[in-house]
Amino acid sequence: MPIGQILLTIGLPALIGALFIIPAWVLPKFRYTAGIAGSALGVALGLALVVSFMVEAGVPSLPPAQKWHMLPVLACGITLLCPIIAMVDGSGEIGRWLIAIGSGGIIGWLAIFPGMDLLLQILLGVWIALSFISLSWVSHRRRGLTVNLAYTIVFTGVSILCMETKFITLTLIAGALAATSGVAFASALVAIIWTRDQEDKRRAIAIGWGGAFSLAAIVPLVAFCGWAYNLGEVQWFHWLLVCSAPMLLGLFELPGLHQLKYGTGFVLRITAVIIPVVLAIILLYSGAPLEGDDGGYNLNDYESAIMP
Amino acid sequence: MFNLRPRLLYLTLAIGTLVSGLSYAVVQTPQAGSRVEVFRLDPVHCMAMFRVHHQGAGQFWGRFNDVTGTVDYPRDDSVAPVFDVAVNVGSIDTGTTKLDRTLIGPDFFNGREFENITFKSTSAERVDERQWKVDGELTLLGKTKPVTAMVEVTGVRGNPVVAKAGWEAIFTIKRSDFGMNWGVENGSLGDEVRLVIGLEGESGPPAKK
Repeated sequence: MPIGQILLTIGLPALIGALFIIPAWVLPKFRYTAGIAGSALGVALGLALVVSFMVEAGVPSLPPAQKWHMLPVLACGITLLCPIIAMVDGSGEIGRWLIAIGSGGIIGWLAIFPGMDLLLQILLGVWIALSFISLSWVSHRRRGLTVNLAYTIVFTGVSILCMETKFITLTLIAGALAATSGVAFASALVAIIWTRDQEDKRRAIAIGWGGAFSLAAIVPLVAFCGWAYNLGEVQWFHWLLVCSAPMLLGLFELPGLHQLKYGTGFVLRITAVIIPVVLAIILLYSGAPLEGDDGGYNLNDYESAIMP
Repeated sequence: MFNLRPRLLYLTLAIGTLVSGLSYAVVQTPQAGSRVEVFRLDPVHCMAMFRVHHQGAGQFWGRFNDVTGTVDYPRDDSVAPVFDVAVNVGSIDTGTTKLDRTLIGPDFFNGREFENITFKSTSAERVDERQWKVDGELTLLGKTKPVTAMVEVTGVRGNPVVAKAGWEAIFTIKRSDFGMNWGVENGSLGDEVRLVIGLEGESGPPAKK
């Protein structure tokens, strides 16, 4: 695969994402507007998925010609909903649960990949709902630096898993999502170093409910898609380990742990995310490899096979 | 005493030779007849090969090993063959297992959703003796498009009861017409794919397993 193509599929979405994230998180004019700052990451990730898909596979048709083509369609919906969800950020527990149940229910209903029955659709919906509840909670307590680095790691892990499922486009989509999360992390870092908030403190901006919604929806969607089309050695527990790793961030917000010093807390949180991701990759590569590269098929595959 | 045994033996040998000779003649020159027979394709002796331009350099060949279906055809070539062929996507064989899996995957043939590639002929036009231009509908990735294949009848051999016949079909498609777009835009894989399909079928009662 040409390196230029990889850069285009991963770099272009990240660049577009940067156009949304950097102004929204760095410029004082925007960073205190929940609808803008709280939706920038969500919009950037949704667009990253759509753009990387289009670079690789062209414009998706409606209705989708193939089941996995539902990914960019859903990403368009997520992108459009992000600003609305960001604007109701902080509307309380009822708002949080309504968004969680609504997004989980709708996406779980629409995303039907091969091999998915009703039970798996419900599981996808529940995963999205729980992810949103967890992330929206963390996003209020934890500023952009931790969450964005955690998701850069997670999407990188997802990209490796996708590569091993032999799904090129999804690998590059996950790569684009990792790059966009990386841009968000860098923007958060810039915001900490060069900007000060209303209390004259150096703080990054929170991902907001818009970002939480986008992350909560996209990670399980990509994981289920990769799982459904797996033609490699990637098992369900590899996906679970990688994609549920960010949920561990929630543990550090429990009483007793959330008061850790910033540096220590940051390192511990990121370590907690890295461990399951690395474990999944070690388990994947230490497992049984694909049978030899000799190719061909076995005559025994066909009951009627007879030698000439 | 007159011994009947040698005479019986000679008679048996003579009849046997005559029958064998006649059978041989029948096998060598199939009985001419315009009766259309249904030839069931034999997966062991059928294959579908494809060729695609790789990174603007070499022509890459791969094949599908599981080709099934039927061909309706008269042994005397008086009527065009009618093809109803299915190629199992999962039987792809490039010589490299990892590449096979990538090609079965959703970026290319999407075997999880579309188990078979099918071709059904709709009409045909004679080009020459035992050569036909066959129009048909190719279904790939769930999309059906008209294609035209040049078909050569490579041979017919049999007896009045059963026969084997072979065909070779060559045609070119644009894979992007079917929604297989990966690598087309950036030229890493060509859009045009040449297909060479080698078929062999058997008419008559189904073979016992």
